[in-house]
Amino acid sequence: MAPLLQISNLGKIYADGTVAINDVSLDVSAGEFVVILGPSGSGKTSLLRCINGLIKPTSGTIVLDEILVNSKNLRSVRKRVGLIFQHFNLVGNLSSLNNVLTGLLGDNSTIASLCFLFKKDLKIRALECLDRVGLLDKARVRADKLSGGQQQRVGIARAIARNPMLILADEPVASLDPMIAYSVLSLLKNICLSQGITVICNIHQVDFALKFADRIIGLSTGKIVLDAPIQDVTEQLIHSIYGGHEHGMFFGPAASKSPEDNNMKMAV
Amino acid sequence: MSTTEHTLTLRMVVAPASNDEGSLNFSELVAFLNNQDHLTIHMDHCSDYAEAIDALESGRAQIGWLGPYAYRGIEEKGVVEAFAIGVPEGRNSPNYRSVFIAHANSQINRLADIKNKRLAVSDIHSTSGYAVPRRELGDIGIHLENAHEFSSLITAHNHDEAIRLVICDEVDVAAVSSINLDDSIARGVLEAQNIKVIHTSPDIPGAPLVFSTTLPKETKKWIKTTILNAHKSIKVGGYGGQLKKYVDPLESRIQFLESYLYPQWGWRTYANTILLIGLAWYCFIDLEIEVIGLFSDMSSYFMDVVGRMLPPDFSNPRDLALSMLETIEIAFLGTLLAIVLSTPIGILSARNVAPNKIIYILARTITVFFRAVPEFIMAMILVIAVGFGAIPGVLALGFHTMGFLAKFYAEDIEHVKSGPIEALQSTGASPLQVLAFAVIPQIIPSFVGNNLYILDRNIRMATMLGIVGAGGIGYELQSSFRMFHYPRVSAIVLVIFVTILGIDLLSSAIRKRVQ
Repeated sequence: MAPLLQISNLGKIYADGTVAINDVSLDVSAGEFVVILGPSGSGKTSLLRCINGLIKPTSGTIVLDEILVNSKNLRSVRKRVGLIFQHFNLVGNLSSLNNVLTGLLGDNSTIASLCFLFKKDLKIRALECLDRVGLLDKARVRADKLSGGQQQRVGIARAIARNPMLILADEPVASLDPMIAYSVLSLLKNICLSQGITVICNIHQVDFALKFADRIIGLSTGKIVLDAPIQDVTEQLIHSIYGGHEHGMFFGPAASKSPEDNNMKMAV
Repeated sequence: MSTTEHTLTLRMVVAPASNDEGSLNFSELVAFLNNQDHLTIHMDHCSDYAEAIDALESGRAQIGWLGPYAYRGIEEKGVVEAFAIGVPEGRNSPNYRSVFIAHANSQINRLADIKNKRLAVSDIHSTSGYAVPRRELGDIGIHLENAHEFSSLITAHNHDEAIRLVICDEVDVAAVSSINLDDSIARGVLEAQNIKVIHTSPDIPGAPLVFSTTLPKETKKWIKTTILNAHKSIKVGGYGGQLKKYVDPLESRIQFLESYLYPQWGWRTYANTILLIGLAWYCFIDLEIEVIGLFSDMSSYFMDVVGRMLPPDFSNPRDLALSMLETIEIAFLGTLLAIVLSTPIGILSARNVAPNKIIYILARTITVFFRAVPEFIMAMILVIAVGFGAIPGVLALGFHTMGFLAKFYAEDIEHVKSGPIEALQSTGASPLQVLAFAVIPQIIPSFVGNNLYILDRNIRMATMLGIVGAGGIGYELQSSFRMFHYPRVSAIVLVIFVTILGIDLLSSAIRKRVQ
């Protein structure tokens, strides 16, 4: 069986000459929970945006479910992909239910949508998704009245409303506290396991990556520097992603390592 | 599977929600199934949820009742599927609630009072005895996972025991299923006036009967149909004792979700729409506007006027250009005056930066005053005061649009992001420094945009001001009208149009650079 997502020799150079992605090739199978790690500016977000067709790669191809991602197939690709954002991107003065329904606009007629009318089965589906994320009783509440964690849950409900094959999550927990971040990632993992939806997730927290991922991909300056199933990932490999920074950055207590550090403190 | 096969023997497991046979009673239902001579079912009452789950997962049992939460867990693994759900007597839905009960003369009246008190819950697989109470308490910041948040936290074996603990004053509060509570009262175990309900959860979908997905399709279909129709032949029992009937979980699930639906168009939307149409209707009637007559008359007059205006008369192009230029100059100076005047007044009339309320109200009043006096009136008065020419035009435009610009600035300032302001305040910056470094930079793009809009508007208005004698192309327009020289009028209108178009292109180019 062909993998769900096939990325071959992908490259992206922005108009200002920045090389965001540099010859990335990657296969993702159905049902995998893939975490992409990498320092800021390593091309994680660009990669996700290419998969969804939000930006056009300069070279290479992306094939999702045997459909080539290009401007012609955009609609059918996006139908299969749910997106989750760092800042949730909910419409604040719409109710949670209406926010989830925005994920189903593709299945509703334009005229009816402009009058804010939805078919009943779509509304039931949206409520089902809200129940899936544990927010059924908040269906009528305006999105901006919800807490950050609840807002991201509504974001997840919106992403799964159309039964996507793939969820792309761009730093979904970067603006949440660790407890809530944990519960949001658990929910994503749960959806991945129970509904067989593939998840590709950018996160900055290495501990969460190790906890939830089936596979970790390390990006650095647009190149893949690590691609390993979770059981093969070692502390050493994680460090290699971040360009061999100090050993104690993720593990063990922080302490000033060099005399220069102390000198700097004195100077201040 | 044919109906002649009598040998199929199945095992059914029932998780403990109650120790009373009456409130969790599947025996009549099982007997009814066994009497159909299709299969034989042996029923086991398990001592806890885990035992029942294990039996279904390992294949030792093929039918079960697990409560709604525990069943969801193993349904997700594809081990079982729900096929029937009981509707209690006197109810229309299989849903129930989790209730927090306390002794009638207890001091506890709200959920928040539970903190540091004695609480009884059921084991973690129970929906109404653990999962829902945990969520309800979590919403108000009490964590069932942290036992130290309570003076004691007791895990009761089942809901009936939890109820008994409250009655015997061994705990202050218990979280139990509304079905068990109603049932205990109905059986006379509990006097309703001895307890009080301090909190009721939202609806919980009822607990279904499940069977193993590995059962043959025919068998599953037979069991499901027989149970869904059993209430026609016997009095069916189940969770909550006597039941009205069993229904398809999928249908009841949809009904449950539907209970959360609300109309997309609330009554307010309808009321406002009707009000708006009514108001417009009233205005039409009050102004005696005849819509149909208007259109038929207008079209004939309009064609006549347009016919007389063509072709445009561009003779004396120098005069035309010079008077247009004069108009542009008046508008430019007027706009400049407006910007100079409105910058301080705009800042003072922004609620978030005004030094005090009196200055704020004063500044607001000034802006409203100059907006309220039309520039026409202002120009007429000024023409009388300082005579014909450009000066009354400049002053009229400057003061009138000052009122607008100040309002625009004030609104922009009121909507700036407060983050940078706080950041600067926290460094000890003075109010004026905060204004210069956190407020002004944020409003620069809209500042430029508003000024360009006012320039555009002032050029249009300056053409009209000529009519009252305040100089520019308006004077030309006025005299052409007076002499019924309509081709000249159309030429002037075209010149004005081209000028405004040019200003529009220029301002969008400038705006692009400022963003």
